[in-house]
Amino acid sequence: MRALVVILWSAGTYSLLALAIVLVYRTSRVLNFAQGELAIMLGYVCSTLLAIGLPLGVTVPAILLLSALWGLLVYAVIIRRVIAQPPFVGILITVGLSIALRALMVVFYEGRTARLDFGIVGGLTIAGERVSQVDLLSIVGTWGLVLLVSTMYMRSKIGMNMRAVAENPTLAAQRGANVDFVVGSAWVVAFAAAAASGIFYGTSSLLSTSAPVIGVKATIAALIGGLDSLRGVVLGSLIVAIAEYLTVRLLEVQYLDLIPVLILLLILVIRPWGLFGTAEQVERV
Amino acid sequence: MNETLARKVPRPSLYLILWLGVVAVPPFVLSPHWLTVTNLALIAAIAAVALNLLVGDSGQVSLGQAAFLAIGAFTVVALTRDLGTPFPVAIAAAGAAGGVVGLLVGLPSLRFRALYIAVTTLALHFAVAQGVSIYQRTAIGADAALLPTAQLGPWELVDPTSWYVFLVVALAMTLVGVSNVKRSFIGRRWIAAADNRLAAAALGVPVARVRLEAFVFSSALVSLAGALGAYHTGVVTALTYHLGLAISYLAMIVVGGLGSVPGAVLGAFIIVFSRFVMDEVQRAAGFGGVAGYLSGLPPLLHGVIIVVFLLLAPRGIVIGIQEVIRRPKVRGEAAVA
Repeated sequence: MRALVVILWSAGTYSLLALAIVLVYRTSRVLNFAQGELAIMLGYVCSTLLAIGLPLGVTVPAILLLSALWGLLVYAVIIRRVIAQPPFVGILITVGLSIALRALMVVFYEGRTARLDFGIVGGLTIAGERVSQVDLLSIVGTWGLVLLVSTMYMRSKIGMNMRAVAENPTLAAQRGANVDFVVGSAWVVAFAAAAASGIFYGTSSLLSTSAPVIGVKATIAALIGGLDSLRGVVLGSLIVAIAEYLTVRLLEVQYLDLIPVLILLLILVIRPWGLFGTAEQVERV
Repeated sequence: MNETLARKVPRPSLYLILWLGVVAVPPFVLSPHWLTVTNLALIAAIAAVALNLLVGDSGQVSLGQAAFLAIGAFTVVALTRDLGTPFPVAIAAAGAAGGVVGLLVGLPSLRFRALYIAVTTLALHFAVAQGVSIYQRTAIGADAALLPTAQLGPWELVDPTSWYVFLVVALAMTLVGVSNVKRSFIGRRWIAAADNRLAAAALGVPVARVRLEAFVFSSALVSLAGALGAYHTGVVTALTYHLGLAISYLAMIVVGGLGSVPGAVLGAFIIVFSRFVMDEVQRAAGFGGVAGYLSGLPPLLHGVIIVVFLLLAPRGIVIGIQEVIRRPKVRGEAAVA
């Protein structure tokens, strides 16, 4: 039971972040390296707003709105202008954003850790074991949002347009999809997802300047699953979370960052397009 | 024809004399502190040129710069501690170690999409950071490893001036070597594979193999620079090689201009010097080392530099300035045409 909670908790966070990474990658061919930094930064902002006495019911929607606006801004001002350039330019941009965000955390929060206290303290007894309510909230929240975003992607009109743009932007535009709007909304959703995962992360774990590593884990999960598949995101996140749990239990904590990397390299050797990705021509070296 | 040739041939040697003149000045005018900063910039320039070859020319973003620098530095630590390996051999071995790790990481990552290398080098960064700190704790058992003085035959590199002379020669050799590789069929294939993968493949360039070549070559050169840096500082500690260091190198090549060899050198000098100047300013303003949050300023600057330059001056500071100066003229010509 304990194991299940731990695995579902981290896999939920990774899934939500990985989903955002995949959404943005599919529509705009930019691999967002700042996803983890965004999540933790927005978590920090949330802690500040709570600290100045804003009620919970105002803070959370405000953060979500703020992050959505921020996503729109980043897309409109930065990403739109480099989208036609070679892929490494987009990567460099998000890497630049990630280090700037990390630096802002140091400048504003001076390396202090923060915790989001929503006043939820109790625990529940499930199958004879105590499980804290905050952890349950995070699990339900992240997985619920994963479900929500993937339903949006698979069922709604905007989701269909996103998939069309991902497939072929020119043809999608020909058929009446507003590519700019569609890609922009993908960025908005991705930033809002970052905010949500940052908040959930902050409720049951510590926000710190080293916490953005969850973005790396999410990227690895997305790659393991295949960058273009939603099923892959969930499976990849579960694999990373299970591997981490086993590492802590069977090996030592110091290998925590190492094992997911090894799994990724292994998968890249066997199935370079990921577990559920579309098989493409692999080049021989 | 002959006339132009006659005019053109002496020019490189004229430039050479000019450069020799410029290069000879710093040891006479700079204080030991700033000469040491110059030396750090020279070492950074070697590593930045190597990174630019990978990112600017071969189109692969590496976040493993700090990891490869660490590999070079800790190879030297291991060799000098356990075997007493002399300086030139240790440096060469560090380069080889970087190349081998580059091969191992590049082989699985480069078969599919060039962008995967960004993720695997980021992963490598965390793996190496973990690895060297474990090594430091178990094998060295201290916070830092000390290195012996670098010795080239009878010549000991002890003071900033002797290091300066050695590093200027090393950088010059790197520049000539890298420029030649870029001009040769090897480098032209790297650039071709990055510019247009399909066209390059159609012309018979084995794209994945060529990317791997560039990655291995660049990794080896970066590790070599890491080894030089370790000897220069004399103290090696795992904490030096953080992700911010890797990204500061990306800032160097973006400032200097992606794919430009002199640009990478210029970028290295700008980034290294800006950090030490910022330190001076902070000290002068009375924040000497106390205000921890100010340590966030250099990485913030690097991040902003990367984004702003890629948006406004994607070809680097030199060409960016040239474009601003020339812009009216170009418009005039277009109007005539």
